[in-house]
Amino acid sequence: MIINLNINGSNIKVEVKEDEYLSETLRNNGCKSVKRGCDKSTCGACTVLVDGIPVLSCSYFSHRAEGKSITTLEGVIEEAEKLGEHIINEGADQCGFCTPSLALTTISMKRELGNPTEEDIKHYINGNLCRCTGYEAQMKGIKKYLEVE
Amino acid sequence: MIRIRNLNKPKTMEEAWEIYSNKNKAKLIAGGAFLRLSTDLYIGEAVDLFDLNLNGIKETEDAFTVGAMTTLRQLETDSALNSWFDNYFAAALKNIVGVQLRNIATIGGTVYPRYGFSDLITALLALDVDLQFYKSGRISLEDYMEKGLLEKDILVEIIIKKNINNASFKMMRNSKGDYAILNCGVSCIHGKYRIAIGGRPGRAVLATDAMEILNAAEKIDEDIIGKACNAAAELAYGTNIFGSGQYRSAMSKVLLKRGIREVLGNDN
Repeated sequence: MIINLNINGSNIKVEVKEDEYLSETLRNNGCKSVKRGCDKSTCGACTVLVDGIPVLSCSYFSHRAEGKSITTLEGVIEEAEKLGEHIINEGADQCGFCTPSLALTTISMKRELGNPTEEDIKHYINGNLCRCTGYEAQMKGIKKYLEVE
Repeated sequence: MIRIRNLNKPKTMEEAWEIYSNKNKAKLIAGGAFLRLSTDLYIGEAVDLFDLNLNGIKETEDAFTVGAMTTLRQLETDSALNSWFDNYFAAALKNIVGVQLRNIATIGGTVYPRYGFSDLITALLALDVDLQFYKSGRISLEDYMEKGLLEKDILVEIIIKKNINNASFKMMRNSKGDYAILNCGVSCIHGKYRIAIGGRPGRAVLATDAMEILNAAEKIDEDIIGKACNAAAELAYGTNIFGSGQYRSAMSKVLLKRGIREVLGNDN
C-alpha cells in the first residue's frame, strides 16, 4: 500500500507492506539514526516522534503513520548537537548506539515538560536502555543541557 | 516476526464487527505493542481498530469514560482523571516500560486479553469499573476477569465510576520498566474496602477474604490489617522467572499493608 508521510518536514509517498513497522520504513528512506535494537518494544533505540509524540517505531505499524509528521534525529540535528556536546563532555556516549534515541527523547521531554525535575528526567528517559554508561553520565549531560538551554 | 496476510482498516464499528464476526480467525489489533513480543506470528485476517475513533477520555458527573484505543500514556497524564483519583493512575502506569511504549499500548489492548502481568488491570479491578462491549453490552470488569466472554466481541470503552473515597496502588518490580513481580490495588468505595492483587503471575483477582475482614471490622487497627494481609497471602500465587509463589505470597502482605495504611491515612 502507498502511504503519505511527512518525514522531517519533507512530504513523501512510500510503499509499505501491511505488516511493516515504521522503523523499517524510516531506515529504508535514509533515516539511519533510527536504530534496530531489540525489535521487541523494550530498548527504546528506535524512538521517533509521531506528530510530536515519542513512540517506539519498531512497534508502530507504518500504515498507521498515514498523513502524520515523523521526526527523527535528522530532523532536530541542531538541537541534538547541543545536547550531544554535554553528552560527550560527560563521557556518556561510549558505543553511541542508544544516543540518537536518547537525544530525541530528551528533546521531546524538554518540549513536553519544559523544566523537568531530576525525577521527571529519570521517569521520562526510563524507556531508553543503555548497556555502556550506567546512566549517571547521561543524567549529568542531560541536566547540564537543560540548565544551559 | 509478524506476518499479516490481509489487513483490514475499518472506519466504523459496524464495519469492524462485520469483518471480525464473519472471519473465523480474524484478529483484532489495538495498540499492537504486545504483538511485537511474539517471535513468530501469522495473522491471516487482521482488523486494525486504529481508525475507529475510540481514543479519548470523557468526564461526566459520575464517571470517566475511556475509549478502548486510549493509550496508557493518556491515562497516566490526563489531568482531570488524575486529579479526581489523586494520581492513582499515574502511579499505576508510570513504571510500565517507557514513555514511548505507553504512547502506543492501549487500554483496550491491555484489558481485553486479561494479561496477568498487567499493572493497569489490577489498578482498575480495585475500582468500580464497567466494560462496554459492542455486542455483549455493559459488563463489570470483575465479571469479565472471572468469566471472560461467551462469544467474541469488541471492547468499545471502559467506564470508571467516580465513587471512591480513596485508592492506593502498590507494586514491586526488579527494576523500573520491568514487569511487576506483584501488584496490588486498594480502594475504599462508600466505606467498603476493595482489594485487587495481580502479577501473581496469573490474572488479577479480588482478595475477597481480605476484603470481608476489613469490611466486617468496626474499627480497622493493625491487628485487623494483619489478618486481612494473611488472608490475601492465601490466594493462589504461582512461580515464574521473576519470583516464586512463596515469595509472592509473602510480599503480598507487605504491599497490601502499605496499600491499606495509605487508604486509611488518606481517610483521616
